[in-house]
Amino acid sequence: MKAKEASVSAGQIAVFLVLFTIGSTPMFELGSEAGQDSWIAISIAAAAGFCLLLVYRALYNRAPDTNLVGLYKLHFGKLLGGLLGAALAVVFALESMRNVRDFGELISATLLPQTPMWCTMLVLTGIVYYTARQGVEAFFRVNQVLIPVLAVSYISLLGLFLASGLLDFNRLRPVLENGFRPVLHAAFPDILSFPFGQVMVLMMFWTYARRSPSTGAMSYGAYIGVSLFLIAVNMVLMMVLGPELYRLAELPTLEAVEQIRLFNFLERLDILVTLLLYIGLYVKATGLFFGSVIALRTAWGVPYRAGALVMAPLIFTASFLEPIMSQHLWTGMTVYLKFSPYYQIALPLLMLVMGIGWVKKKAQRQAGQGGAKAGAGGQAKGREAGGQSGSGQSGAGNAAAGGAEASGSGQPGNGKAGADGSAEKAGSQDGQQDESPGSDGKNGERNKARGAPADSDAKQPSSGSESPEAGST
Amino acid sequence: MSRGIIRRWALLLAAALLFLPLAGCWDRKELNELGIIAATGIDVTEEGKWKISYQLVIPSAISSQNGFTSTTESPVNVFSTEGESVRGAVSRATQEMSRSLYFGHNQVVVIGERAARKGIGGLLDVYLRNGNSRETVMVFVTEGEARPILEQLLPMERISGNALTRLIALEKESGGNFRPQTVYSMLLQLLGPLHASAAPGIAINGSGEGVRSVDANKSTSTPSKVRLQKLALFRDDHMIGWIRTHESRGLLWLRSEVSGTTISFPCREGGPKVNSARITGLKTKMKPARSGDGWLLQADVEADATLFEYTCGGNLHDPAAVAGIERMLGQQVRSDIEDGLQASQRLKADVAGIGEAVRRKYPHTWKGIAAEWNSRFYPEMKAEIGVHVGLIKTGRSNRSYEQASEDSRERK
Repeated sequence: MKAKEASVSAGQIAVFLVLFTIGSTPMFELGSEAGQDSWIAISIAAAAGFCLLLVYRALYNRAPDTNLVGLYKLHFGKLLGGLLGAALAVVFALESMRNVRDFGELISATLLPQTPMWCTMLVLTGIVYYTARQGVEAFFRVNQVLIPVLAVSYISLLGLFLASGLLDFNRLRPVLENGFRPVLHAAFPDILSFPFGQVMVLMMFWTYARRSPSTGAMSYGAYIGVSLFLIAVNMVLMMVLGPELYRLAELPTLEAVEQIRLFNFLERLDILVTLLLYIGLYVKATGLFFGSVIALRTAWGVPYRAGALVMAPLIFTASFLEPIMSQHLWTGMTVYLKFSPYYQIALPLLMLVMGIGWVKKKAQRQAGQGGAKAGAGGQAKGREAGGQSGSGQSGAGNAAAGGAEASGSGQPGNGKAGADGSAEKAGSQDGQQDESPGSDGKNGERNKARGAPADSDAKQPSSGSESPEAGST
Repeated sequence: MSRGIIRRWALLLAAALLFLPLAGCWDRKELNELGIIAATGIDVTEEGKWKISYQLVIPSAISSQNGFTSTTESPVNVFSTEGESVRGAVSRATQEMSRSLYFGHNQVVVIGERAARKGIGGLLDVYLRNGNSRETVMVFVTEGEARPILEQLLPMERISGNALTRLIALEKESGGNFRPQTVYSMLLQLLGPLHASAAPGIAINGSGEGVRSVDANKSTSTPSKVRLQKLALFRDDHMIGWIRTHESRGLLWLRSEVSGTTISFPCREGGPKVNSARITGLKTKMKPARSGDGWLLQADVEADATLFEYTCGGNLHDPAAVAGIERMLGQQVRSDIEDGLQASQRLKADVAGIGEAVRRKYPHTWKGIAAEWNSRFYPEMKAEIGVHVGLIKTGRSNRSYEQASEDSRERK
């Protein structure tokens, strides 16, 4: 488990959930096999996804101090849990890779057809990696900057659709022409897995917001909101394109927006949509990248920055696996979707059932023990982590930092009390640097020495790898 | 300290260096290397090859200097290439054109009749597949070849490709005989449940040669003009025939797609159509119903009329006279709708979208008849069309001039 570190608010989690779920979704022909009823398919899948979210949250509540991989370890033991965690890291990395590739394809299909895809994908991977280096807090704050752009753009697009008179309600009729069967077939497992099942990544981030009491409620609210948004988007697309063109178009949203033509000068708005999709793809690729690296750390103790440094080139390379876009989409629609129900649905349900009662106690017991253990082993680990992360700074300073941190995490009881106090004070103020009052004098010095605001290391017991999420210049 | 400063400068330099690769030189487009296309023509040659014609805008001829526009230079240049496929023909353009063709500003595609009858599937695919050719281009079909339409200059207009879009927009707004048909809306209809669509026809009318030289602007009349006429019907991806202008208007009324139109009507049935009124606010409710083996269309048309010209007797203060005019107008509207329906039934193409109304009302029955709708059920469909035109304005005079003149004579 991690020594933490970054802290985000419930509101930031909600913002992330919205951006992440929108992500690249408007890019794909969601539920096209249900024809004009695809909005019903999406509604059903969204409702099922909400149940999944409840399951995830229930699992998380068993051990609020850790993430999904920690839960794997709690449920299945260290060895099997670690393996599952590593597998999860691979899954997240693959999904992140898919978004990188989507990004490359999108750019080459719209803005820069001549530019080689390796170039655009390299830029995106670079940005993702850079964001990951800056840490969870920075990423969540970036989301807050991006969401108004997305909101304003989508609302104005809707207004333009209305004004241009392209919407025809009749294209949604007749409702349930072929009965419920194709609708259900479109909803399960396809739409449930993508995009709704992907909210699983939240299980990697909830623990950062555990000081906000309203995180659960905010997540549910954001989920409901974004589901309604996606349903509305789908209905609009269907009303513009009709089921046949919707199915035919590789990028239905672009196709629909291309038809907007107003006042003889408002045309070619597909560029705007392209930019919106870039935002979604970036958030999605980065969120999954974080998920992968954090999973790797929790599973096998791979230091955060080392993990990121290894993962980024891997993701970049893997994004060339499929030769052309149609195959890329095919892989997404068949291979991944056949595979994803196991880790998105089956495994969490299994954990939910088998872990009733005892896991929570085990987690609490470990939290108590973990502190003592960290006190013993923290020194060495802290040094190691400090050494690898503080590149460009004096080695002596790093060693001191490592030591300071280890001693900080040596007193988990105190640290926790302090942190809890800060939670009450700081409440749910978004985007606030969490200067934990729990840090003792040494920690404060360390922070200054590194020239960066760091979070309370005292907060988290156990494995003691230093806080990579805290921003370092 | 100094280390920090060096570090900062290094970062700044790195950021500045980033601008170089991020700008991306692969996709640069220089305006003076582009040939901007305003209109495209599609023909099929005798040998069955595609012949694509382009109307190329000549920027120097249309840019005005000091408010003065050069009239000695032709504003557009038309040329054609041939190939086995549509894009194949386009790619041949590099053999005779010094600039790369840019279709982003293409507004109009004119399809020659032979090409339309051969099939426009390849053309539609090109528009869907390629990002730079947009589906919002307007489609016209012409009897004969498309190329002469592109060569024709329109009076008062520099770029005839752009002028054609204004022409059809105005026609929809005021004329009411045709509406703009884009590649997008054709795709919607051809891929929809009915697989039938239509595109307005365009032709060069008049005597003598087409207007191909700017010199023609020196005289006060042009010997020939581009004119919208007839409607080309499509089924699946090829054209199946023409219907006449007033039939096209009737079908548009059935679809409630007319914003305004002027119709002539007689004083009494069978008489000469010496009066005219403007029809606005037209709304049609289509109610398909089963009748025996076949189908019956019940359509209720509501419209408002403004009297433009009136030469019959009677005083318009008399409600009976107004009702008479409304009845005459209604008959005209109904006969146009019936003509349009019959014409499209004859060609077996349900371009008015009646089948869609059937599908919405009887989704289960529709599945059984969808395949044979155009070929069997639609041509045999009966129609009951009820029209109610309400006269909302009679203008600034009450009686007709003839009536007034007669009245004044009687008074003496």
